Amino acid sequence: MSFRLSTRDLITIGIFTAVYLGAYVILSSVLFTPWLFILLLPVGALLMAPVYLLFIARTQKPFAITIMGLIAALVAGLIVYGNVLIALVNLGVAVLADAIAFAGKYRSLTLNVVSYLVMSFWVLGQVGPMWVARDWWRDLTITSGYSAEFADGSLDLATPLSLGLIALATVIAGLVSAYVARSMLDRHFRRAGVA
Amino acid sequence: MTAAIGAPPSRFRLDPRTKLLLLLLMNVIVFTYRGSVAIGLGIALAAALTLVAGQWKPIATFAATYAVLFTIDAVIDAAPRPVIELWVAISLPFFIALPTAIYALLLITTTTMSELSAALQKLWVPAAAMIPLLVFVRFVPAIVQDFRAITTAMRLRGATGRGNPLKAMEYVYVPLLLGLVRTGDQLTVAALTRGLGRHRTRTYVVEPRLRLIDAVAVIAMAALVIFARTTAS
Repeated sequence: MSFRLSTRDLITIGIFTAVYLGAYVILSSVLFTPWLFILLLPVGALLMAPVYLLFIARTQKPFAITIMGLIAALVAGLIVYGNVLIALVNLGVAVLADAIAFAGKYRSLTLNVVSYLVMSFWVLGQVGPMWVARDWWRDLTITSGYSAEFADGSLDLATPLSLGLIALATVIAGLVSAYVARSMLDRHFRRAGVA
Repeated sequence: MTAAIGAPPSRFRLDPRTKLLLLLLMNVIVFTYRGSVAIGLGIALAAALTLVAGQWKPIATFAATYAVLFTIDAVIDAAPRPVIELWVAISLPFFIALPTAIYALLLITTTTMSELSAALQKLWVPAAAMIPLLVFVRFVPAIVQDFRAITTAMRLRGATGRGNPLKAMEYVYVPLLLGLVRTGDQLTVAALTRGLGRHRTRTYVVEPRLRLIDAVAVIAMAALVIFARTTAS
């Protein structure tokens, strides 16, 4: 396994980041009310496995996923949310996902899927404060113009139980997506010589 | 994109670095200031800069969007309370995101990729981060276009995958991803021809330079930030 990212790899990273992140941006603008926003995790996980697994298959080098996470952190954490901490969570999740896939030399299907499941939690930076930084999130929501009852109503939904349910739903959705992606990759992409 | 190759950019074209800085500063305003004056002025500044750079379409799009938003906002008061609440929930993200989005669009529509990469190189951004970032910026609209074309083509062939979400996913993903992989290969060749793969510092025909208009824009924006800060609390 080579460690040097070639120009081709860098371009591949850009393209796949555009698909991956673009889908999340569109999704979050569809789901962007605090009540629906927590669904971003499972819905995203349900959709993106073909993109992510093909991305790994196309690069198979360390740091590719990290750079994807870096761009996601820059765009979704710094520009959209204007918050360094959120960006760091985004980036951290990507680094972890990269490390897991690296453990399988980017060829182990199991580890790639685990890496995908981990990566599906990258929006935790944006969604997570509802659970771990309730006051901060409430302030942010209210100063963004939402009413206090609206913020409190959403926070009522953010219980440990709902966190567990969301996490479980995300993992299940990710597994379903990975299953579909695997057959898709086998049937179309490997045969066409691109995976 | 209208400037001829090798022609020096006009006096009214902002340096890409300035546009990045403006984008960041506008973001600061949007996140620290709750009022419409500074944000309104920021939008006006973006409009002026875009017009001066010779673009009017993004301004027209944003004006139309705002017109629609404000019209609904004015009319909706008569509606029952749940409808108003729903509208507030839907429209607020737009009101929050649009001022920043205008600066992002200013950056994208009035900057050629070569200018942007020259500017990023001057900012010491390493190639490993710069190339993916440039490709990312360039590809988001292309993917949306591809996605639309594919769904239309599939519907024409009767392959909607209705009732079977897995099939629907496959019908979209396979052509989309295969197309992207191919485009990526072509882009790689194009990039290599332009010397992106060489391990030495690239040179540019048009060097990004800071001009008077950059100073004016940054000073105006800095004044807005200070104004927003002093009136924030």
